[in-house]
Amino acid sequence: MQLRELQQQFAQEVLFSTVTDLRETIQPHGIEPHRRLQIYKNNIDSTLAESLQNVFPVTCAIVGEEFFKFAARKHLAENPPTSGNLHDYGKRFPEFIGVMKELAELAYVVDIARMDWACHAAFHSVATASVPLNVLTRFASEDHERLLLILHPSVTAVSSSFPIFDIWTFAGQRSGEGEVPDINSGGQSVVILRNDDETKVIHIDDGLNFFINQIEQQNTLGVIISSLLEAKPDYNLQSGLHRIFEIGAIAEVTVIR
Amino acid sequence: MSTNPIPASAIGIGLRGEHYQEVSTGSPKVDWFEVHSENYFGQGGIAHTCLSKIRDSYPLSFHGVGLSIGSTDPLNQAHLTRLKELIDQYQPALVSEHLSWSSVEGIYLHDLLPLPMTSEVIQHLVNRIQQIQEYLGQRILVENASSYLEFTHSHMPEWEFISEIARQSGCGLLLDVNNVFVNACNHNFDPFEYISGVSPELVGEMHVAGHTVKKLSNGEIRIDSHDQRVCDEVWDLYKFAVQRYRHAPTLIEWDKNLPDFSVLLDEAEIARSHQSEFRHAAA
Repeated sequence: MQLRELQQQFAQEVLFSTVTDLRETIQPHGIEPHRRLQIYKNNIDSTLAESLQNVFPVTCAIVGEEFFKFAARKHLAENPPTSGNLHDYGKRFPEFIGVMKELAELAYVVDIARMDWACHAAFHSVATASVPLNVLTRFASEDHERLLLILHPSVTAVSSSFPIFDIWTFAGQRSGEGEVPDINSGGQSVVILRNDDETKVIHIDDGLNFFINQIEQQNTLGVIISSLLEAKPDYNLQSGLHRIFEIGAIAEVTVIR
Repeated sequence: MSTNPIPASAIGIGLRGEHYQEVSTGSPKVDWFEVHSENYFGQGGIAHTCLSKIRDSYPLSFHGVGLSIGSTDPLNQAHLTRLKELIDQYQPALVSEHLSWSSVEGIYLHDLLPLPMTSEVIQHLVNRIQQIQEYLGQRILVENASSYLEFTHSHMPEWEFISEIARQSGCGLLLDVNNVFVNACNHNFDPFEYISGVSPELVGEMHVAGHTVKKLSNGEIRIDSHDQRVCDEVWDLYKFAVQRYRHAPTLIEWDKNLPDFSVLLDEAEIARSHQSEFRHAAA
């Protein structure tokens, strides 16, 4: 058997338990080929499930370790890794568990998994300093409308119709102390970012979430302000602008000419 | 920053994230550290902060697990590019990978999978290693992998297979003494014959690690689990290897169920005592 064919059949065996001709090319030496292949399958399943468990610790705490491993095995068959760097694996896991019928009653889990992934991405993101609010003083006031705020590369905002910050805080602490969140108490938004080497999950209000979404769309400060005033007329713009710099979410400010 | 060489008598420890704090603040008495290169493929964060600090005090080795040298897919250029960036950044004394494959048709299985020991495969690996060395601009070491099966069309002993690859490609060998022992048990050959069959000038590094015995209804298989202390049989084989591979530094590997760092230091001391025993006898 040529090496290419051998590798294709090996992958079929360990990913999908497909019986292939590969078994005829394996010496039994007292232990059947399928049992030898099963050792590899077990190693692969356990390495990849463990990797997902490390990336999605809060999701795992909510669904339980046994179910998490079951979900990880199903996910592997449908979304096998496509990178030699194991840290890239799991990006599609939130959407995968979001449509698992077994989790229909835990509809918020998909957003918690997005938060887990955002923490993982922030942990590995490029090291860049954030800039303080007074960076705006470098620009003439007539330029302020044309300012473009650049988000820190670690920033991800997650918004949900469930109280995800409360659920995250409760599920993330191992002690089981504190008040069990009421999942019907309304939606929450969070921003996840890294300051120096510390990854943070910060609860933000709707206005700040809107603000960050506008920055993500690369709108200028002028466009953001008018959109905000239209969408949320009571929003305290000064306070929002102060807060977004205070949490370290802005890496750079430039002016569009 | 210049490359900090690793002396032949040096005993290193595989560095994992769980021990960053202890190593970066405690300055433990360790000759050198080896890291999995892929753990630093991210652009920033605490992994890089700690590695930069550790790099200032210890010689370093990069050990890859994801390049999939034996794959029949094209070499993963993005992976190789990132590896070269890291080498340029940290200037490790040694760079190594595995004689195995882990990907096919763009799917990565993240395990070190076995290869048939044939002339076709030797040629394939030699070509790939030469491409890698040319791109990186340096010699690499390749490690003999543990395996749980043998292919019927393999037509040479493993020690000949790895030696031929090293000779033809110009790479060095990272000889994992535990993997030799595991494969000797799993495939019924003499591990001492293996060590005797690999020429000392090819070996640039040695690994020792713990493994597990998996009992099956019709036999047992040794699994290269890296989750416990090195067993006595592997230490015996190591003592034999130390006498033969006098120019190869040693690394203690432990990847799962990580113990206190003091246990790894203790394993390193055991390796050191075996080396001293040999040097004493040789003197």
